Amino acid sequence: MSTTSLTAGNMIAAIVQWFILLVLLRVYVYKPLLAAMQRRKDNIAKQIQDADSLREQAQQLHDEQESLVRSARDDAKSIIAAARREGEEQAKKIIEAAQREASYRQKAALDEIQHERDMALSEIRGQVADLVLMATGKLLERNISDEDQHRLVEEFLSQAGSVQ
Amino acid sequence: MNFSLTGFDWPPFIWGLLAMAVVFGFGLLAVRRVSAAVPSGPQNMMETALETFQDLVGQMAPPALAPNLTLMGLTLFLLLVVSNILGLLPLPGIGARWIHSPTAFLSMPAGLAIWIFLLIQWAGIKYKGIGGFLVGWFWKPIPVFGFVVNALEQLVMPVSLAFRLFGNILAGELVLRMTTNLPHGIGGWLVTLLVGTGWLAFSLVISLIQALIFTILMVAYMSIQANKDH
Repeated sequence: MSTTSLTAGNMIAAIVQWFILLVLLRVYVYKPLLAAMQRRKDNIAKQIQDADSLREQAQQLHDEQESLVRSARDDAKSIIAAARREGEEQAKKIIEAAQREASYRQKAALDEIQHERDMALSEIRGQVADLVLMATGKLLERNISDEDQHRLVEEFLSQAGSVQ
Repeated sequence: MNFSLTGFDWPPFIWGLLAMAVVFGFGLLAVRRVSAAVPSGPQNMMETALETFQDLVGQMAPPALAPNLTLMGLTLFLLLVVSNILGLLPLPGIGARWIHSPTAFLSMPAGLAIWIFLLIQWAGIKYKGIGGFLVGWFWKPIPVFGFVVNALEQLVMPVSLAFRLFGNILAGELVLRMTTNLPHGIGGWLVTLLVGTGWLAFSLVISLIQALIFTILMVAYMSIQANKDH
């Protein structure tokens, strides 16, 4: 035996050893290792994809919410404006109605006062006429006819009215 | 150097088995808790080696051959690295007994080189077709006489492969043993310590480089045959 001896058996043994090691490593080492590396690659690709889609979703949500907020703000503004307008209108209406009512009441009161006054005056006239008649009758001691009475009274009153 | 058809040397065979066991054991360690998450320890080392070889082979070999050639190359590399380093380790026990590199016996590198030679012919036939293969052998670079050039080139290839590896590793072993067998006179141990340690470090580097050269040449020869444009 020497290190420089070439033997067919050892040469074939070396080849077989390499081959057996290749088969063993392939089955028990390379296969699971390559599978793990592939899985890792897939995972990373998937995660990148997930992150992209998530970012897209977030952007979409953000846009949506922004537009929602904007439209809500616009709505609020228009509601407030409408309410103000309506309120103003109503106030105007109420004021107008109140004014109308007040002027009506005033007129009615004035009419009533006028009426009462007229009635009082005519009553006073009647009473004055009776009193005058009574007094005149007593004074003359005689009765005069109703016709005469009334004529006299009218005359008197028209005079009294004009004096008045 | 003598050739024997019937003889068989046990040391290179036994140490070859040890190298196989070490490589396979490390491989099993790497996939013991194989993880698709962040790898660590042996798995990380094995994956790094695998990816390095994928890149290396991917640059040279056509895509159809690359995956298989990657695994073949990596296996060859790991086997040779461990084989080369084995010769730098002392056997535990009394006296200066050493493990031997199987690659320090000419038979192992020669056997591998001859196998690689055969693989290259197979790749040539498979990827160029039998016609292209024969044309490559007999008609390139010059008609008819091309055969002489090619025969020389193709025969020198396995011989140079085998002797380069064998020579480097054998020299490494022999010089390392010499440094430990110095006479125990004045400063003998000091020379052993300094020169021996230095040579050990150098031999480790040589072990790696020779394994890598052997493997890369195998991959390159295979790729040349498999690339149709050559």
